[in-house]
Amino acid sequence: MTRLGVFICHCGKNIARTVNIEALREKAATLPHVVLAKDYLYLCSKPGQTMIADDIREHRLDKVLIAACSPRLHGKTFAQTAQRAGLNPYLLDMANIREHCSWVHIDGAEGTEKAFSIIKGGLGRLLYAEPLEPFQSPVTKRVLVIGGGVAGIQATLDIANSGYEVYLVEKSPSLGGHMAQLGETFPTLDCSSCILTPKMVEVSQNEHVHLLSYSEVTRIEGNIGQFQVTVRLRPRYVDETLCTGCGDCVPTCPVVVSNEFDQGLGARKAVYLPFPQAVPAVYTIDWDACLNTDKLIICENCYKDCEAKAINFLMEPQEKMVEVGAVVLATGYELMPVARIGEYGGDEYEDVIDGLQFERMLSASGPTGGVVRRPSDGRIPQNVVFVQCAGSRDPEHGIPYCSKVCCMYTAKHALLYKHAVPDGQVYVFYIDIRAAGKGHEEFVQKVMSEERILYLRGKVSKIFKSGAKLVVWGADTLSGRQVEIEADLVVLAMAVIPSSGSQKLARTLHIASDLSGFFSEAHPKLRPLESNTDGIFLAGAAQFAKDITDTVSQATGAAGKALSLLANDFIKLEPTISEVEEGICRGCGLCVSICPFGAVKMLPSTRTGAMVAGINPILCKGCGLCTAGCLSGAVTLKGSSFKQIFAQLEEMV
Amino acid sequence: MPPVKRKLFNLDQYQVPRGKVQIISERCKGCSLCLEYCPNKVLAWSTDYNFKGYRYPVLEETEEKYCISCRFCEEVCPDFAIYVTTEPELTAKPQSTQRK
Amino acid sequence: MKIILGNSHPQSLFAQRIEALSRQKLFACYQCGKCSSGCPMAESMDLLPNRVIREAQLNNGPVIMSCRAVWFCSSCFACAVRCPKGIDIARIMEAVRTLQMLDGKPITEQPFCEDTGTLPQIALISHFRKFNM
Repeated sequence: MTRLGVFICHCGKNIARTVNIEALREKAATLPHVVLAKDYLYLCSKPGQTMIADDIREHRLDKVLIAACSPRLHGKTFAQTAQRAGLNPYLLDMANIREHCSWVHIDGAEGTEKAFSIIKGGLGRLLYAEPLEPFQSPVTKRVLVIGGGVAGIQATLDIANSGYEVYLVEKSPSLGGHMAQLGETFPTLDCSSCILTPKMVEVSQNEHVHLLSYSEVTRIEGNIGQFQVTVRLRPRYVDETLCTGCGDCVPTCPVVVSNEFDQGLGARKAVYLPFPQAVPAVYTIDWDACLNTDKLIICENCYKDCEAKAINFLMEPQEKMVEVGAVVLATGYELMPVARIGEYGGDEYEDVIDGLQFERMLSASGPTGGVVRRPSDGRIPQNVVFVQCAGSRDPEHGIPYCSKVCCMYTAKHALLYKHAVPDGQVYVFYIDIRAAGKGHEEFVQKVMSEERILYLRGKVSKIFKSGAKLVVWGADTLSGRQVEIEADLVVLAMAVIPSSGSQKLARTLHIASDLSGFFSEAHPKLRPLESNTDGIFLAGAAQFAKDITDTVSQATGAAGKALSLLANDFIKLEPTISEVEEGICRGCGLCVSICPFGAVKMLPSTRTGAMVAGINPILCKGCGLCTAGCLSGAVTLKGSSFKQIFAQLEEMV
Repeated sequence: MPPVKRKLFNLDQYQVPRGKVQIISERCKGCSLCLEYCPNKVLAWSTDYNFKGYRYPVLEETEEKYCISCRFCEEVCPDFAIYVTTEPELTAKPQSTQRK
Repeated sequence: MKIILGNSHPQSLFAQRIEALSRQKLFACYQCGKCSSGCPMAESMDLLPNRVIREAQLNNGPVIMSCRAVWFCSSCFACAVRCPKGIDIARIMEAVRTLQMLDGKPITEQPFCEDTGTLPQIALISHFRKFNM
């Protein structure tokens, strides 16, 4: 004989206003198996909870129904109450008579009747509830960080300095990302490399860090606490352990190509170091540019000049398997190509460049040695036009969002150019000025007021060549006039988009990304650092466009999330997951495609050998989609079995 | 619109080896391997024939500066009809070494 | 002139009429000015195209009904094609022209345009068709 207890909450006036609690309690006490029916003002309060716990023990209750608010609010509270009283928390259920009843009814009689119906249903369901035990999954104390820009570097350092092993995987030959390309950063005008390179060196020297540069993640399996990751190490054709970084291989290399680090404005050889402060300080041979191929090796100039004998043309790609407990994604951004905007020349004009190219020109170690020059003839430009919002805030060009950093870096560019060329004329076309960070507004105001830089409020409609001159057609809506400028150089603040490999990576990791390609957070307000796959965290511009300050903050936050996971040897998982009855399963495989978490796989049955569905209990979130979709009824959702649901419905109808 | 082919700013900081292609036209059998394998395509067919009746490769004066002394032609020639002498100094600014 | 907004004056009646006639989302315009930047006839206009939209958003009846700018519009669609919000400004100009005509305004303008070679062909064609130039 099951002993059921019913506790009805007034919730102050929230429930009591519409529902006649006393009448409800009297009726509930008459229901079968109910040995105790009580009401209280605030069940969730400390005395309320104590009362429930005491009553469970005193009246030897087997199962308890709490008729109150939504379980989303206090489900956990009462589950803990049950545990304290020695009752399995899955034998306590909640009937929602607030959000589902008293909050949506005005008439008292109707409300009370409905509340009774809800309680009856809850009891019917509770009768078939079974005790469940949460289970554990081990946590591997190792983290994988994908992406070696400032976000990845910061996350790596935070985790490594806490004593855990980190694998840092970076696609390009060196760490640093875009921050290494910058000259000076806003608003302080700190030298970007000067503040980044100490961190890069720290990463390379930290004993807990395994740096895998020139590598990519190709496969990931498993779940939170136990991810099995496959990393493909691209062959550098240079032995990392032997290369001293002396650079003797470079002079005699016969191939000169465009340097990606200089955004196409500078040159490098086929054997190269991306930039002088590269980490690791090891040369790489760009096999696509090198004259040699896999089948034919003739040019050995670099090999002959290398004293350390580090060149090896026979290197093969390697695959490395790593097991980690958590993953941090920090794959960063790139700029939208100028070619996508036809009215600005579509990348046809040499003197129309984007923000990163201008940044490389300003950088002291850049292709022009820090001097701003026109790409077409190398002369120093006298009239420079900066165009903000090129591509951003433009749903018609596919970028509806604001790229956040352009207003600031355009002001910085304008300032630095004016300092270099005091007699030069600078024009900035804008729609709005977004300078929301600390010190940002002051910086922009200084640029506008002190530097004689003209800010024109209007979007540029067209940039074209008229003879030898570059003409910019814009407007100033504040004065109500069109503006035409003959420019020597035009710098477009192109939209910030997620870096090119991120889509492929999202598919490899089974995580969601939004329409613009940025990785999706679990909740935009409350969980901005977690992806919707447990154990995979997001940091930096891969989640959305942001400046360096926010990137570093977010990276440390993501590291913190990973560390709080790693601090436990085991993670506790909810037992309210789905289970397959092998005998009933007909092996149709529908559940495999339905599951949004990839938790279902077809496996040979242990008894018959036929292929049946198997659910990974760690990945399963108990959403119930497979349970509902199974044509044979072979899947049950623990805590919400068919018996329970039908009993609930029968009582309520 | 095709993307603009940008001139690289700091080409003068990068020097490449320069080579002088020497052709022994009598040995050539016109197999064209040297022309195919030359990464900068500096070789062209001659207008006249050698004594065997084949056309042989020539290096025009205008093309001389593009030879980067990679020696691919030397290695692939089956008849030892072509070889490269590397200039002793790493030369001058590469005009545009990569033509492909 | 001051724009009076508030309870006693219907805020968006004018905007509603223009939206109904043109079937464009008037309030999607964030006044970036790209339409005005590229308009080939703007030099002859008393109000720039983006200004016309702004006055409509602000329910500024007197200004909208008396502006001559809409009669210089050549319906070349340079604005519509370049608008980042996908608004067809040419249609809005047409809506304003319709309102002015319904109000009985006589059209006395001869739109003057100097073809300096930058006028799109469609602008010339549209002018021909509209004004029999």
